[in-house]
Amino acid sequence: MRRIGLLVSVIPLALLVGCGASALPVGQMAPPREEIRAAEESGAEKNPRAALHLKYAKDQVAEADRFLKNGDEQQAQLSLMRANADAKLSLELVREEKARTEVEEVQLKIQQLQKTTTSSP
Amino acid sequence: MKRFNMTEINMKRVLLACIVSQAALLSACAAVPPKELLDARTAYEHAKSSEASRVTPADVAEARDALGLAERSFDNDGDSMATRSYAYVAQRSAERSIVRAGTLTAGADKERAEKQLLNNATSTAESKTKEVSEKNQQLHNKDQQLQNKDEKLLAAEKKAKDALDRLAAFASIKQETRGLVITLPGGVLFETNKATLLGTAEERLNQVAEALLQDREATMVVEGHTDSQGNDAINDKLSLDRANSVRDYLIKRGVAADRISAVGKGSKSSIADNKSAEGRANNRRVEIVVSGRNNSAVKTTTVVK
Repeated sequence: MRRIGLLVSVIPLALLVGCGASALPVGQMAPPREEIRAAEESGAEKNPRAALHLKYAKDQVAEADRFLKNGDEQQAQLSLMRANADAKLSLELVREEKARTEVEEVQLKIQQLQKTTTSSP
Repeated sequence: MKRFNMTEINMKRVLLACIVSQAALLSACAAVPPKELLDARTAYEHAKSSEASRVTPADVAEARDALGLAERSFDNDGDSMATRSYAYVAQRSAERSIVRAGTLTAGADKERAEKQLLNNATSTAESKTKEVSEKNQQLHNKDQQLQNKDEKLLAAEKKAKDALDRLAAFASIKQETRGLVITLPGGVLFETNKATLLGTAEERLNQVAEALLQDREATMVVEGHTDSQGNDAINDKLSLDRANSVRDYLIKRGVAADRISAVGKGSKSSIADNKSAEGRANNRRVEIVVSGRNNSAVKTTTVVK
């Protein structure tokens, strides 16, 4: 009977730890305003995919504000976490497009130079 | 029938309740993964098998860790808002790792392209510089040639002028519409009524030849003239013979035969009064009419008979 009693006390505790103790690194998360601002200044609005993720980020920041007003800090932090992920992705999408455009510009210069060289007498 | 005391019965009940509650908890944990988690797994697998794993391994590792967090949340909390949020972040993280790989690859491509552009520009500039240098050298050579030519031309002109100056010492030289007339004092080329050149005449004709040879393109006509004494037939023949004597001598001195001709004018082209001895002396002459290359420089040498 002692063994049964031990099981009764240990198993629910283990289950509690397993299900409820996942480490949520939400902590004190500030709104991803820097990422959003950087994405906006980089021209995210002109890149459809970047613009979409920028919108997601802004929507989720607004959502976080609503959660905070309702006193649900946990949900607010999760929203900010998602907003942060979207803002970073938006910014990276703009950077990638810019990098590709720069490559195309240099390649165009190479072509123009070749054309000039071959067409000159 | 075996009897249980109340303590044992209570324990069994508690145990049963625990088993039921554990089963309920297990059931909650074994829920179907939410769409966000499935998407995150797919996104991570995609990132892992893409160029990102080579170009941005740290970012792919970050996505893996984010997915791990979502998986643990799902294991612990099941389909909770936290699980969905972690999965959402994991998916974005995986996507960002691929995009960042694209950014870095484009950056490397740009660097390579810029190097190529620089090399091509340098090569083109060097080629142009070489081309310009060669053209400058060609121009310099042409300038040099022109300068040499100018110098030669100036030297030739000076030589021609010197020859004419020397000629002017014994012949008068004047410009007419048909050329330049050089008048020589009479009686220095031929004996009276003869067409044979005197020894002293040859020396002077040498100077005439020297002057004429300065222009290899020039054409010349040697005209013989007499005074009016005697009949025309004799004078015409004498003037032609004298013109031929001068022509032959000049050819001997290097004047091209196809550029020099001789005519006998007799007494028909007098330039002075035949009544006086001085006038007759002036009429006895040989004229050499020279048409220059440009048809402007015409030299006429008059040698008195």
